[in-house]
Amino acid sequence: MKKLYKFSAFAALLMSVGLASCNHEEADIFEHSAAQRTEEARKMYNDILVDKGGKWQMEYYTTEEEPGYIYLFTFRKDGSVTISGHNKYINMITSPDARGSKYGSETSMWTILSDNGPVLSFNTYNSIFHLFASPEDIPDTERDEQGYGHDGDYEFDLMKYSGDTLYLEGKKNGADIIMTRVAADVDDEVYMNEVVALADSFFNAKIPTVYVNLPGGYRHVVLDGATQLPKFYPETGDYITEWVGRNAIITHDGFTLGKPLTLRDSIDGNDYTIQHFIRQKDGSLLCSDDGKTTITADALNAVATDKQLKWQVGTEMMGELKAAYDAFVAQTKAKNYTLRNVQFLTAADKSDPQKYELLLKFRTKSGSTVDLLYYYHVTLNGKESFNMVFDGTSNSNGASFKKTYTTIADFIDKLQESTFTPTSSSRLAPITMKWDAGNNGYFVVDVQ
Amino acid sequence: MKLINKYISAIVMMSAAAMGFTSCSDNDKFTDTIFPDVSEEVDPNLFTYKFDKWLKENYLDVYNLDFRYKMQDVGTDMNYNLVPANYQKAQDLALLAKELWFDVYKDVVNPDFLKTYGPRIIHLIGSPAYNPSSGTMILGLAEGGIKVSLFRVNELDVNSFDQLNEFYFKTMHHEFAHILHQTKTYPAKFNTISIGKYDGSNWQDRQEGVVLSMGFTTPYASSAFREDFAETIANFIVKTDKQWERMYELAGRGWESPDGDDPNAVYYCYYYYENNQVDEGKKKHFSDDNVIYEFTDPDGNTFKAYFNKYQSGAYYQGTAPITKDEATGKYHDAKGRETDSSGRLLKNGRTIPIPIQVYPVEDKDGIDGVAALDEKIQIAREWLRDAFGVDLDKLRAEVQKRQVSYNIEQLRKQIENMK
Repeated sequence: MKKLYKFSAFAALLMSVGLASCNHEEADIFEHSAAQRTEEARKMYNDILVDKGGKWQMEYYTTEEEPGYIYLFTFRKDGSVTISGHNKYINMITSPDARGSKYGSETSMWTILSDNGPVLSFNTYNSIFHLFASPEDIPDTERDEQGYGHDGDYEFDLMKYSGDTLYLEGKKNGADIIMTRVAADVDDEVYMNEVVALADSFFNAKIPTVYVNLPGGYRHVVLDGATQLPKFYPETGDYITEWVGRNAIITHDGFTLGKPLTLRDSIDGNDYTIQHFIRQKDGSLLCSDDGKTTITADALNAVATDKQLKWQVGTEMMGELKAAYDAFVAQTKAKNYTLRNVQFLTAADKSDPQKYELLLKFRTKSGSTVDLLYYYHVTLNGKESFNMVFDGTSNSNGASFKKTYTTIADFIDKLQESTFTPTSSSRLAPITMKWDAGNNGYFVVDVQ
Repeated sequence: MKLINKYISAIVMMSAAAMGFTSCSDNDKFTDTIFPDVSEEVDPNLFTYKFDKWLKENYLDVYNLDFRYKMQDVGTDMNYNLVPANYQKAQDLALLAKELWFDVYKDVVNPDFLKTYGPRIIHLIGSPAYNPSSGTMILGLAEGGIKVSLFRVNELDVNSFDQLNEFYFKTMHHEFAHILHQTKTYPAKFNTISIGKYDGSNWQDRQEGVVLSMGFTTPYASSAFREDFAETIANFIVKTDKQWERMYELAGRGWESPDGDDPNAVYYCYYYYENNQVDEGKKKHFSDDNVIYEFTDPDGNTFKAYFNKYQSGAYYQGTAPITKDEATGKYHDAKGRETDSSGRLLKNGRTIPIPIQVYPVEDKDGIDGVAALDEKIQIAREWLRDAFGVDLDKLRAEVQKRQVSYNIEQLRKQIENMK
């Protein structure tokens, strides 16, 4: 009898399970099946991509060891997509030894796959874009990357769409990718050329040191910005033990780090997290994450007198400085000495590391050159201006010419009595400056 | 009674279960599919319409074969970094695969053969699948008799017949051979021919000539029984008569390495002795056939010699006595051949240096490479005939004919002319 109870109880349990199994019939949460919802998402992203002319900018990353690259996509309803880029690897497609960036554009196919979710796939080969997913060896590195290549993706999980921005994730290698809509009438080549020009204006290898200026006033040094693999370390810290690196990308509007970076402001004691920077009219970069942090070169008078830089006077000049310049050029020319250039640079005098020299380089009628060197020191006036203080010494040619040609002495006097306030169109890469001496006029100088 | 109770219990349980299940089946019909409808028609608005339609008419409708040229990573081994196939190259390969593979079987065997045994999916991949650790790359894969993946499509050069054969068509026949033997097993006797000579780990380090002398068509064939079988069929079909002549020639040679059993040893099939001094320490190996020529010495003896290499300061001497003709001032040996005053034989007025003699390496491995190759081909021939009714020789003849006569521009018109 006990057994009968046991069996009956089990049967009742089974009944309840059987009945319970009906519950889902009554409680559908979603109106459509998972497959149908995935298909709807696929169609939604498809429509988003081809909408408004279908033109998008992609901030494309491979790994954290490599800079990001800007690409432009024009998606069409017929399944084709034109992809445009401008980078050194496009240049290497036809010639592995080529150097420098090159524009390229090619049409291939795209689709939105229904995988675990919607996936944007560029599913036929596009030599401009798939070069980062190719397993072939990278031409300009010493390592053998055959089998791996750049480790870039060409299929992307579509994560989110918000305000004409698509957030994607590389399906295989997981890089975070952002796509933003671009006006349909944008010319791909013009746009990409502008991005490259912007890259050159942001960081220039000739300006060795630029800074992240935190809101509290503390600075972190930025090295290797021109490689788009910048390294950061506190200005008063130790590079070897404290540097931290990021990959970065230069977009049409500014400069973005591949991942957020938190830096300590030793003056106000706060940590600041930075990632996105927008180009300002003065050429500096303003962090759009906090609206305060900037990236600039040093104060312009400090850059102008940086011991690592050599400045050459250009043809653009005005005022008494120009008059003094023209006078010694004319006087020496009359004696068959043709001025080749005027430079301000660090003196090669190890006993006095603060010594600078003014170099006047002439060519003689026979084709040989004559270098005149006049030595001076620098006085910085705050962060605005500087003065040249000539100490009366020179090399032997300098002394001889100064004695013979009074206009050279006048020119040096004019330099010495001037207070120069440098200005530049770029606060980040001031490779060209106007050294403004107020009533005495100005020079335009370029970093050599 | 206990017995009855058991039955009752069973009936109650079955009834309960039946009630439970029955109560679920208030819908007599299945609901609509949870998957969205997918049209089988090719969308005429697509950029790829003409090619898609051509594929449908020539592969899908005829062979129930999905020719995938638009790559999906999920359809590949995610351990490899791969890129999709170039659209134009994919079209060329689809056309050539039909011309040199599908149409051959249709014409030589029967139209239904590939409908029955052909793959259901061909997946094109633009790049090779590299194995960086071994330094090898995968050119093709056959998976479960269903799917053939062809790699390296972006390197396709329709104007290079050798490249097409080596990287694509040989791969197609190789992978198809796998599909066939996955359907009907080939005779076990095949595996005994080169037993003990396979090397699954280091086959890529083996040299072509060396493996041929062991009875393998390629180094890859020496990696495993089944690869050997597929390579035998594929190479038999696509390699030209001239290529086979060369393969047999290499298969008949002996090979040795001055580095002994070193795993990275380089093997050679010829050697000579420095300055013709027959001494093991003076032995120099090489394999370049182009430097060998047939030399006939003044006595009429013929031997193989190394081009432009001579025994130092050594010249052929005349047979004593050497006499001088006072009238002409010329010297002659006992056989009447002209010499110089020292007795050195002259030819066209010049002394004759003794060339360095070349020797073929003795074939001492105990394997008759040529016979092994022949035996393997014969087994493949009989197996294809008995298991599938395929005449391997006819198949080869048709492929050989087609692979030198196809016109890619003509083939491309098949797609261009699609409406």
